[in-house]
Amino acid sequence: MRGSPLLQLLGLVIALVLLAFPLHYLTSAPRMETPPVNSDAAMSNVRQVELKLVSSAVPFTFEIRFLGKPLWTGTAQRATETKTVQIPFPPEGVDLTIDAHWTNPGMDALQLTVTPGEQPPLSQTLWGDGKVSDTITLREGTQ
Amino acid sequence: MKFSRLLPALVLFLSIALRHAHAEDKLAIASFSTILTEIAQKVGGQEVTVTGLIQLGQDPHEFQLSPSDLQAVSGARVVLTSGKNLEHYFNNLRDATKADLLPVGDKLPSLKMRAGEDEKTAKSGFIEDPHWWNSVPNVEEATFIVRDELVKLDPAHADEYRANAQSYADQLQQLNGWVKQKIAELPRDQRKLVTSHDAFQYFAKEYGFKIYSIEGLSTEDEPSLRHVSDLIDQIRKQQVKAVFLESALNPKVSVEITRESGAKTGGTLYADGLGTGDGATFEGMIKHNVTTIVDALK
Repeated sequence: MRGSPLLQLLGLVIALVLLAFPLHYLTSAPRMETPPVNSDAAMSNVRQVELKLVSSAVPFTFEIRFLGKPLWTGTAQRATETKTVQIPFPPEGVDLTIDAHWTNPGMDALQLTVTPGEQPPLSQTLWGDGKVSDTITLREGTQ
Repeated sequence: MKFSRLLPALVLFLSIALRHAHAEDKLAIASFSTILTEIAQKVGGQEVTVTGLIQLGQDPHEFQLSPSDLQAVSGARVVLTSGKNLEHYFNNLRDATKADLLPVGDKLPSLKMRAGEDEKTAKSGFIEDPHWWNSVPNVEEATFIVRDELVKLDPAHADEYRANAQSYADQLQQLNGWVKQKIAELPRDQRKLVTSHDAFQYFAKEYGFKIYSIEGLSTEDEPSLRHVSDLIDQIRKQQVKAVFLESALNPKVSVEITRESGAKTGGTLYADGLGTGDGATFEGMIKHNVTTIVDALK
């Protein structure tokens, strides 16, 4: 061996550093970024949906929530109320949370009918003593 | 004079003796499930003593029955077990105790699971999923099963057991309403659950999730490289946002899958019963799991 030991050591370190880059590239697993939520798919499921409430008594106050946010709130003086909204309605269906209070005490019923686009209507009825509070699932082909 | 001096001591003695006699009058229950321990305490109230053999946070899949456990259950009139073949030591327990054995889960509807390689009972290749407690309505049904057993064994306190069971069932119905409302914040097409082992089938069926599990039915199962690779592909293809860890399991494989798939770690779930901290009660466990899942997948 010729030359200073210090120079030899320096040469070895440089060689190892140069080798480290391709080794790291070859051996490390490919890392994927978090996939974005497929907003196109969600948007393609958006439909014009008609909501219809039929109550056994009036007046009553109500709130319907979709994905944790109010979709339709109000105080109804008539037994039947309707509203049209635009929401995603995937084949898996949707969950709607319904809270309603009647002014007069007693057992009452509230029927929610949902008609997504040209599809057949989906309907569920809730019963309660002065109030109802529940989360219902509406899915095509189940009602 | 002498009698008046002795009177306080006599009263004290009688009081201790009465208390002791009342404790012996109580219906003794032993439980091999943290969930059933809570149910028995809620339904039995002041009229029972409950000995829980599985501790909070303990993995029931790996529990080994010891002589001291048999000693602990020896005075029980009824022994509650999860059932659905979770307790691999069930036959030994049955042979070693004179108490009634009540495998509560056996009275509940079953979901079938593909058996692991070490599952000796699986002739058809499928076994019953034992994790029934991850559905709130199942726990409500279990409450009534325990109530009926206590009424049968101790009819003198039937009214108390019925009232206590109804009170707890009402709490569970309120809890289930909260669960449904919280999960409704999550679109149905985003309800994809990747967990460490296959413990959330009943939860998934009840609340509309699709399950992708890393390990098998038991926490002792090891995932194959092929299964891990397929799962990573599924997570990417299905755009699953989060992978969940479990409180009683080593997170190594889950963390590796999370890293490879690009999903995030969604948090730690209580899968096999009550845990410590906020998972020490059934309500706390369910609220922790549901909040963790919904917040991570939103």
